[in-house]
Amino acid sequence: MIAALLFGGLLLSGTVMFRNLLGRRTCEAAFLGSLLACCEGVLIVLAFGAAGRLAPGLVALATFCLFILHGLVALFHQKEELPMLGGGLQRWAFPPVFWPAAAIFFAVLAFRLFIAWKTPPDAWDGLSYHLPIVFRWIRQGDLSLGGWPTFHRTIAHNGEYLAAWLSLLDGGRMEAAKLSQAAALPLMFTSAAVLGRRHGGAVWSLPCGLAACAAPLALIQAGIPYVDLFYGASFLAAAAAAVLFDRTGLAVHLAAFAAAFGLALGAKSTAYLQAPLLLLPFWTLCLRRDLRLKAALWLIPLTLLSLALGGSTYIENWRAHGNPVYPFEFKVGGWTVFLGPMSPSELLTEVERWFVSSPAGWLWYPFRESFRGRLVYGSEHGFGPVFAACYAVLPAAAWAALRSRNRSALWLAAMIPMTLAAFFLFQPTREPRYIMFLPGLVLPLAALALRRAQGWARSAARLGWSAGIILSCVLFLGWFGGEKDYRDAWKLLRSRGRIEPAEFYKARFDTLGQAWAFLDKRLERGDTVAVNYAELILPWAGLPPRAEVHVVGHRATLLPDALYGELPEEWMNLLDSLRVRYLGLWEPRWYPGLDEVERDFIRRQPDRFRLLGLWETGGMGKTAVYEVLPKPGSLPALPRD
Amino acid sequence: MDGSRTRPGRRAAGAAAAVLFWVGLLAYAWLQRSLLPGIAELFR
Repeated sequence: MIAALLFGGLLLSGTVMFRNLLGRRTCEAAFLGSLLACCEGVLIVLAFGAAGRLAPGLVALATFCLFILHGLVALFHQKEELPMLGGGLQRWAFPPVFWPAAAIFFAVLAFRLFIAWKTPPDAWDGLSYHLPIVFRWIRQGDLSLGGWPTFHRTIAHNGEYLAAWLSLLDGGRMEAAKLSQAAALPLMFTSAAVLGRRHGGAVWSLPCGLAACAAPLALIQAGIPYVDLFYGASFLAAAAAAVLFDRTGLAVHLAAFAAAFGLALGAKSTAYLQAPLLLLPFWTLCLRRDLRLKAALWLIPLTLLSLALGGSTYIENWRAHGNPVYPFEFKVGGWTVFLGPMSPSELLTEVERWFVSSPAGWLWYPFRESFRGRLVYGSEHGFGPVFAACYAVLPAAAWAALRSRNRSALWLAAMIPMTLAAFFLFQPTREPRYIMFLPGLVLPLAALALRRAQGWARSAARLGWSAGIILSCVLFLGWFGGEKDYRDAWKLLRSRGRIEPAEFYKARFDTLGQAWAFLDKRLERGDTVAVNYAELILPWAGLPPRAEVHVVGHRATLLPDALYGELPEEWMNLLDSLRVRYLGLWEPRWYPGLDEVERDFIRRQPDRFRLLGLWETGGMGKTAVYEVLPKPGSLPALPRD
Repeated sequence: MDGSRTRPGRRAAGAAAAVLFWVGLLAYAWLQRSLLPGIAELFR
């Protein structure tokens, strides 16, 4: 709650500051304020992390100082002629036909965030690395990830920085971190609104923002610790800033572009998707001679800004391994640009088949969003009905953009095929969540076509847009109610007002959840747990997390300094050197025999392990918890701190 | 540019866009309708 208050304060003070400073539209000021808040959060964590001083008090103090600074700048730049802050919400700018959609959207969003707040951290990748990385940083007070077992240690981390910032504002707890993507919603909303304002006019500004955030995928991701929503919002922010710069030629809008571009670059290592964003600022500068000299002077500072916000992992990888995208190799046309031990094709490339039977299936996928043959939404997909309707409008919208002779509209129309081409050519794992920015590009372009409608067609378009937002929220609720785990959690919340993490995880992850719940009762602060598999590792640290968790394998991986022991003695010595007190062995149903080597090691050293629990029946596979006994003749290991 | 000459064409394009929007919206609602019963589960 404190994190929400501090973040909200920073957002509001930033908005007022930009409104007073620039004297521009409220929507643009809110956009710049949202962008600034995210940038400040990321920079605070980077700065304190580099100094090894990631502590709740210091981070909260720094955030409060920025809040005061925004307020002071706003105070000394007041302009009497500015209209009131709510001026943008006048009836002509947001017609009553959209009001029910706005009310239902905010009600459903509140429901979504309430459920996420009351249930423990959820979602696969969130429990496997997004949150465990944040938990480790906060526990140790710096940003090092030495020994981390998977490639996630060397890829872009801005989403995790944002989560760490919010967590530290909340005293270091994971409750704020698990909701960190909700902090990107204002940025997504205002970015889509700015794009909608530019292409559809004042009437379509807020509806574009609403529709972008009402996509079922955005509602789902707002409550889970992933980074796709944050990336999508940053991407759209770069697009919105490029459009603003094209219109105004102001340095602050070019700086916003550089910041948002860096923010997105630092959230996901997918520069190929972002490359088309650069075209509009370059196009603007090619045609605006008056801006060229200024832009040349801004080039170095803005590049540095972009690198500060999104380049840290790339620079560190380059310094340590000579490859900014380490551990992945990077090839262009058969020529290896950067060497790395992993090929992107080693990623789980078959995930595309979860959605479509062949790549051509993506053409009609927006109308029928299935996953493994079932019509459901999920953390990977769900662009919703407004996107589908705007997708149907796309040919008319592209034609309208072509006829408009407007640079920004033409660029926006070209962005869609360019980003999709990059997605299909370069993206090894094709899931809709990786292009969460797409609705934010398609919606404003459709608004460009719809703004031309007059009379009955205009009313129909507005009514349809409003109905689409409501339908999106209703279908999201329908999916939510159809998911047994969420439905049961909601029923418990209604009847008791709370749900225990152990209950939730037992229902959601069966055997694994039972092992976590069992271990949680025994764990003491400072205990160390070792596990054999690098997925879903956060709950092994306790519910709430409090222990140190290491993934200890039995063979070398492609990453240096991974923890492993090939021989029983090596493996046991490693456990002893890490002062491991509990060992969790998981044999996932889909990887039979994964724990076989570790079980053999345990059988060879029966005096060092005591089986505490074994859970075998369930869809997640077999899970066991062992206590690691001290060496005969040695003192028992005491918990650290 | 003479706006009066292009206006009827623009209006027709706008009307076509509105129709396409509704076609897309209804197609989506029909194809995804199996999600709707889940709402009743939330109130049970």
